[in-house]
Amino acid sequence: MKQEEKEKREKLVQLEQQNEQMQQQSQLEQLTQREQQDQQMKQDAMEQQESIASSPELAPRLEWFKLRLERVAEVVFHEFTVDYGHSCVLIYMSGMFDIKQAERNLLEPLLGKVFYMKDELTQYLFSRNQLPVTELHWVDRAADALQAILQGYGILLFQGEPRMLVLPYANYETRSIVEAPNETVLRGPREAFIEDIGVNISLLRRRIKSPLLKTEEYTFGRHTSTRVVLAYMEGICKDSLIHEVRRRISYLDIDGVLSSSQIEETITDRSSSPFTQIQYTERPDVVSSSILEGRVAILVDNTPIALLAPTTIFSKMQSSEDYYQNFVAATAIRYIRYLFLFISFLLPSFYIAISTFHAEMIPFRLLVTVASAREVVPFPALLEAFIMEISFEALREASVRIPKSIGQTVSIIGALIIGTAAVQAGIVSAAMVIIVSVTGIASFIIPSFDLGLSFRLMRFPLMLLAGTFGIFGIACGMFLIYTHALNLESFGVPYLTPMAPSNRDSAKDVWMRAPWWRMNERPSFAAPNNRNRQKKQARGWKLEQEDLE
Amino acid sequence: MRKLIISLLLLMMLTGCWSSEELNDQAFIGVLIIDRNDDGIEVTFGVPLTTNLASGETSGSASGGEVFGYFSRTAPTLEEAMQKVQGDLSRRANIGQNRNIVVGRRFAEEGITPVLELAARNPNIRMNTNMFLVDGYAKDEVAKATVTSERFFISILNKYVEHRTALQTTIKDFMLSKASGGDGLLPIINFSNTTEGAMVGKSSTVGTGGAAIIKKGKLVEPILTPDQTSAAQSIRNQLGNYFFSIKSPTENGWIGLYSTSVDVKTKIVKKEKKYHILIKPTSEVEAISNNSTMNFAIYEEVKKLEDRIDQFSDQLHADTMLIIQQTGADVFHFDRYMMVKYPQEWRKIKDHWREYYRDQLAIDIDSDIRIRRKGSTVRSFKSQFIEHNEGD
Repeated sequence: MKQEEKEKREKLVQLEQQNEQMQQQSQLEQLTQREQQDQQMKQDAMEQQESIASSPELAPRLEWFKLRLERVAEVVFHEFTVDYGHSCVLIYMSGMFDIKQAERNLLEPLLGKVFYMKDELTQYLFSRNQLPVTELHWVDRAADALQAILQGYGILLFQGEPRMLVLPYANYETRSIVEAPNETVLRGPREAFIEDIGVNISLLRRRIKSPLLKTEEYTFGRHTSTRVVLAYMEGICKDSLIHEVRRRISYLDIDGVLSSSQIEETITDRSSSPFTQIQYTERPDVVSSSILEGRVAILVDNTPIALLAPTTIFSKMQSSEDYYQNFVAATAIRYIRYLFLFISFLLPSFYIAISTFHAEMIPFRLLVTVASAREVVPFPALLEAFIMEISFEALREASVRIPKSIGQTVSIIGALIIGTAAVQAGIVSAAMVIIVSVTGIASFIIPSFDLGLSFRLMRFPLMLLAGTFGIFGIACGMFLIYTHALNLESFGVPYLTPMAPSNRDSAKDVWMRAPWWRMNERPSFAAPNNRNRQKKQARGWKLEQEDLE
Repeated sequence: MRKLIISLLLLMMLTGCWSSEELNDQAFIGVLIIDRNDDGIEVTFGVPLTTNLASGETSGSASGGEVFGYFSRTAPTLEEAMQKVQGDLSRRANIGQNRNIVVGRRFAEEGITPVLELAARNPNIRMNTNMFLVDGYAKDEVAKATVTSERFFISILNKYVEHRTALQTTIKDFMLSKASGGDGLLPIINFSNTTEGAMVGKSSTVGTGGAAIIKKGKLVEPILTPDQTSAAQSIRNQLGNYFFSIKSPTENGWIGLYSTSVDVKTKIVKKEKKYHILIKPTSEVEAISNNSTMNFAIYEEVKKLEDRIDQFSDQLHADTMLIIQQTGADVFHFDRYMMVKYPQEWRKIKDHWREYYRDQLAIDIDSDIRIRRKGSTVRSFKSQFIEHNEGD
């Protein structure tokens, strides 16, 4: 008996479970079906409502906007009625729209007045333009209105009026202008670009107050709708260059443009080269001077970095400081920079080459010192150099990433390990530590970070070459790199201009920083047609003085 | 790009299989010592012992061991001896750094040509390697020398040449011309006893001596004294700081003089069918002491003194030249002047140039030495201060 009961119970339980499962499954199916239907309906509705959206009726349009902005938490639909009986809706994104301004300049005047007829209202708003708001404009396509809302503008809809007012009260928090963190100078202006493109353009316009400074605006990014601005001087900048930049940019069709590097890599001539062929800067003064030389600047919203094209390797070797300092000092410093460019690039390979292949080249006493320092080191020079260089690169990379609060600890540990302990333990020689530190310092003397980086990276293949072929290998490597650099172009300008192809006039800004009163002409590669920069004889007063005397 | 990657990968395969050599796998020869004994030629490599030069410590003696080692073997020929020494060394001997070859007296007497032969063919041996002679068995003398003023023995030799203390003769000097090939002067390095020499109180320190005349690669007598060596240095435009004293033109006292450098112009002229080598040393000297009654303010007296200096210089140069000329060794390679200026006549005499040089070539010396600085006192210290005070 008991067994039978048990069996019955078990069967009942099983049946119940099966029932539950069946129900759940059907519910799930129903749900998914319903969702699918919903979505289908939504799509249908959207398609239908594209036409509805431009109708003068308020209700279907409001429905359309609400459908589009479904599950968008920060959107606000403020419905109100203007006397007598004109219903209106203000749509905006809270946090991006200055509601106080809207209240004072739109709602107050509208609600304080009485419009007996609908025409009165439209005349007031559209024909006579009597709202106390500048930059007020209207759109009649709902898609445009939606985009305007997303950009932080307010949209005002009226019953019976297909036109929609766009209120220019976009207002969001931006970072304030701070001192350039990466390109510091002693004597020049301190300002750096920030993320907001409007502020950045104003920084340029403040420097070049000329109607010839053109700022063409484009929008890229299917979802981000990022503003991109080409800034150039009309009449100085080559037309072909502007066309080329526009042409290359027009190919960009990406879901999001979040930084200028996306644009840079898309429009650069040879993106696989270790040398970047577009210059970037965070300083508005650098951009302004480049624009005045006839280059094009590309500013991207939400990026505190502007791109400059075309560029040459020599313009990357120039710091804006050069043009603020005394030209004699600037010229001397420029030579030091060129010297250290080669040091950062060649010193480790040169050491490897001469210590393993050409020991005859080292003066005897130095040789004995180096050899005795290396006596306890168990690795070949090439390996030793690699260990040190790679650990230096690691240290450098770590110091960028590490939170500031513990950064000091890491640098102390790094210095201890790389410097003192490694030498005392006999893992590396003191000479190698000196070489790696000099190389490390040298690579940061190059003003352009990406040029310094590319030379730092090319150091490694060159070290291999030096370890396998000695000076001959270095010569081959240099030759390869030189040929590659010769082959590069940046927007039609050879990368090694004005050295190869040589141009004597422009070269004066490479080997020395000419004094300002002698820089009468713009560099020929950027502005070949309009080269006259200043009136000749900027120091004419001196000649006059001599005449008087 | 792909090509670049492939070529770089290929390079990596070569790493270590190429002719690269670590510094610590090589022994850098700092001095090559060559001697002759009854069994043949003894070659000695002087090598800095980098293992004993502890890293990080400034002085080499910290680890207690020797900092410079000598490895030597004897064999019938120079090459075999070198190979034998290499066989003893744990590291590969690298002669590319060598700047000094020291030969012993006996080897020089029998001829230094094996060294010249080796240098002429072997690209690893520098043509400007300095040659020195030790009047004795070079290896023994050098190896027992105490080195105090420099880190290594060879640094002393290098400094002698650098500061023009010793005459500089390189391998190339023996090969300058065909007609007088193998002729030259070998500077002698001395090893002192404790009472006198480069560093008093230490035995067997290094110092400079005279110079030996080499003719056709072989040492010939006599050996030049240090003074004569200075004259020879001056003819070769190598004379640096030189102190000397001249008898005063007024009375028996002497005047100390100091010359910072001597500029010598040599040319060949033809006078009355005879060729004259004209040697014209010019110099400006400073008066550094005056032990006579001479007054530097008086022009005539200074003039007289200058004449005396000229005479002294002429005499010293002429004496030296006479000794060298008598051996028939054209150590200054005057034949090159002849060859350039009188090529026609040169062709006639070039086969018996050494005889012509010894018997017929006239050598004229015309010194032109001026006193540039006479010091702040015109008369001697004694006459100006001491005797003057006595007069009061």
